[in-house]
Amino acid sequence: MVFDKILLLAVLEIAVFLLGYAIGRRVGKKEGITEGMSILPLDWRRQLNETSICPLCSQQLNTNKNCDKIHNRD
Amino acid sequence: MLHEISKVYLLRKILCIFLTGLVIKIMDDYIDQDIDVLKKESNLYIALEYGGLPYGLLLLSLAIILDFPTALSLFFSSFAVGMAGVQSAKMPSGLYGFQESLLVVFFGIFLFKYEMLSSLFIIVTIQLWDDFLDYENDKISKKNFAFLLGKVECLLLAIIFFLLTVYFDYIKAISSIIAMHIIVYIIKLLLGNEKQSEHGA
Repeated sequence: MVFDKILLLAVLEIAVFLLGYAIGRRVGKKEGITEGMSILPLDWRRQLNETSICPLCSQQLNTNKNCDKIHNRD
Repeated sequence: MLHEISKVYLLRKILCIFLTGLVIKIMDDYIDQDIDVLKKESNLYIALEYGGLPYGLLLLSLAIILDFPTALSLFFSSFAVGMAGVQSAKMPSGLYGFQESLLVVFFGIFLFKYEMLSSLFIIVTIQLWDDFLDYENDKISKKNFAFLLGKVECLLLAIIFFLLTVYFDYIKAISSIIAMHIIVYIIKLLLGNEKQSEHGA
């Protein structure tokens, strides 16, 4: 009788834990995607500035050509 | 005297569960034979060739002789769990898979009451546990509860259903899990040897 009660209590506890885990994981996944999408453009820009390689097409920027319009002005 | 009777009853029940487990494995392999051929996995039904159906029926008959409610409730439960996933295709009976599944569950509960509930729970446990273990192998087909629910959810649900089975019938719960592993091991040994001899020849 005591064993049965302990069993049912364990089932209830695991069920509550499962519910919390399942809801938390799904909500966390959605939040993670939104956060990732907002960070992604900034991160791409950082990568491009640091490596001079486009993170989308992996093409290297033409570093020999001087495109600086401010300093090349006559 | 009573002590001896209970021992015999226990033995009969355990043997009955083992035999029904074999029948369920044969039935499962019969349904999955095309997928197993594509995946090049071992399949009991293909290995038995034309003997699959007669052996299955014979084993089920023996299991029913040993313990009628346990054998039939386990078989009904495996049928119901197997059919529950089929939601779009109509079966030869004209009903959808889940409708057949519901009918079998209601019929089983009407006939066997708590025996059916414990059988249903242990079959669901085995299904979830099997899906949890096959997570890596089923990545292509994705017909797996571990994909639908998540890996941890699948494991926790399996634990919950196992504890519920223990609550209703602890002998069935423990012997079913042991029988499942024994059956998988025996099939691995038999079909593994067969494969080796094929390669040798």
